[in-house]
Amino acid sequence: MNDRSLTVLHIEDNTDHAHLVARALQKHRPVDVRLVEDGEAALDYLLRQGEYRDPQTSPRPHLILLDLRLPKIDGLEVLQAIKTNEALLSIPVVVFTSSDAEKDVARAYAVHANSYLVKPVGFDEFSETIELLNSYWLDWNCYPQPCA
Amino acid sequence: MLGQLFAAQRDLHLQPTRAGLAEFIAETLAVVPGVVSCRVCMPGVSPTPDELDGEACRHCTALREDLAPAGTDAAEVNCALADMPDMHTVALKTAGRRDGFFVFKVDDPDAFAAYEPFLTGFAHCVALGLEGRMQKDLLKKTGERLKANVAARERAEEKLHERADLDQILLDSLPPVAMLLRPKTREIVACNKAGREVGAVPGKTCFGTWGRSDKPCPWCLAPEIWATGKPQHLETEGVGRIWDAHGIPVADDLYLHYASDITERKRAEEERENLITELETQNAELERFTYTVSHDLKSPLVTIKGYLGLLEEDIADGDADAIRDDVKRIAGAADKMDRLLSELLALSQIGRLVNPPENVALEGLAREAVELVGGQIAAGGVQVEISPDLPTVAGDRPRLLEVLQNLIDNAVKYMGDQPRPRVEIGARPDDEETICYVRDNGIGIEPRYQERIFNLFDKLHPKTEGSGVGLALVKRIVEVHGGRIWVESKGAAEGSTFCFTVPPKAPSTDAEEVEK
Repeated sequence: MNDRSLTVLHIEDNTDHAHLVARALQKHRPVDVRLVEDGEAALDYLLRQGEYRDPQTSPRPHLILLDLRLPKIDGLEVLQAIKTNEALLSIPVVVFTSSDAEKDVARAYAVHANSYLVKPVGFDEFSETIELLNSYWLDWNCYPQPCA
Repeated sequence: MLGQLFAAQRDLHLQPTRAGLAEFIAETLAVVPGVVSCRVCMPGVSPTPDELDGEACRHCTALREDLAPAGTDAAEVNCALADMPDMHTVALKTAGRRDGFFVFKVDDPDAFAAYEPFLTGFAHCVALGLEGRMQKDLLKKTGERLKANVAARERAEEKLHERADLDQILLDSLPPVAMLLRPKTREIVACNKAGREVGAVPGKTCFGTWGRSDKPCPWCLAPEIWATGKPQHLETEGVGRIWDAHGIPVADDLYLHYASDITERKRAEEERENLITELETQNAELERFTYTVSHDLKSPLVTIKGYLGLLEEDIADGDADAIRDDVKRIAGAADKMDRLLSELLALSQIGRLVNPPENVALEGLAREAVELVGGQIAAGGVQVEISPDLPTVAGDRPRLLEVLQNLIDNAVKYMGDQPRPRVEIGARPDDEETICYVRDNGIGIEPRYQERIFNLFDKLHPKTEGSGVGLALVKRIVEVHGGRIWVESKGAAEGSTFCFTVPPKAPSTDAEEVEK
């Protein structure tokens, strides 16, 4: 359906979860999943700072998967930074967290999250969620501009 | 006959009553030649008209105040008797004051006329006698009245004194300090017992005595009272207490100052506020705790169930390496969960477990803690130094050991690639307290993250072991002891110094406090 090379930036400190997500995303087709494990590294990646300076090795993502509880800079702060940055705000950000607290949902939408998903406990549900997310955001969703 | 009359005149004063006197005179004067009968008309003894010659009395105005005002003399009265030629009157009067009349019934006017001057003199004598008697009576009465007045006055004064005593008792039994003051000079005119107890001395200034100062208190109400003439009120501190002070003008140059000591009430209010704040903090902490616990406990579950699913797939594929990886991750998540649960249990028990407070020498405790972390210290080749000037503190020994153990463990854990890893446990004096510290030359912490690291489950380094409970636990133990904890670090690769205070003496860290 879509032959573009698709990049997902996964911001997640739990490497087990990151691995589960990557496997589910890449199950049916290649997806370039870039993992950063704390908020500071996430912003460095997106703003092309430090070790992420080179656009070739750190391509702009088509989708961001964001955990909320992150070391150094909190997930909500990262989200706010993305959504207040002209160059970044069009990248869809899907919050993917184990927190189902209303407070977190409300706060995430208040700083313009595009979607909020609670990590399902259970392999089938987890895989299904990621697959649906894959097809919705990476296949069907239209982006305002072709990504470089 | 004249001798008889003179004798009677002499004996007039012997008559004890007015009525008796009138009768005596009437009897005496009846012997005057030409006189048929004689009556004495005096206030209080006048005969009724029927007793005398009814007709004459009815016309007589002598004793009728409405017809004969004071000062009417006998001649005028006689007018009323003019058509009764056999009736003659002689007035009894002194200094123009009429006291009564002699009324004669005469059958021989000529004979009577010869004696009339004598009768006038006699009447004068009687009047004088009467007046003397009256004045004596008056004197006596005045004396009595005077005596009564004096007694009444004495009684009134007694009552007044009693009243003044009562007023003083009333004022003295009131808890507020009450003083009458001169607004300009602040001189104390009077004060009650509470005032004297705080040092107020009548005749001296309030600031000089009560305030123990050489100038008026900065909050003094007097200028405002003086300026506005209106009552003033404020709450203020003075002589180490808190006062609810009122000033009320009572006269041009006098005002009432009364002040209640509300120190205890204020302290109770403050304590209540503190308790409320503490409770709110605890509630917020509990909420945060529940939130993080539910979130962080779910995380290993997601891993376990996720990898169980992968495991099935990998078994079906016969991918041995993947199977090993899945099992490893499942085991890791289960371990993490186990660690989380026991640490959370430890954290929740800090508020409940009570070890009796004791004096703990931190130097010995630090050696014990270093021994407990001995494995990691040896593995990392870390040099540990314990300063001999560590203080002795009062507290829950096993808990304080946990604090040191955690801090030393952290210091060793976050050494990074430091070629000469070193940990120093020491103390430095600061104002009234001693700050204990665990210093390392490891990876350091950027200032912007320094507060977050004490939050439950907040980790700066995702790859390191640990659940993010350790520092939250340490913070809680220190706070339960009434101390503070913070970290000092200039930033990445600059090393970190974890500082904490624990009160050196027992009072505020007794069993109750630890229990709380």
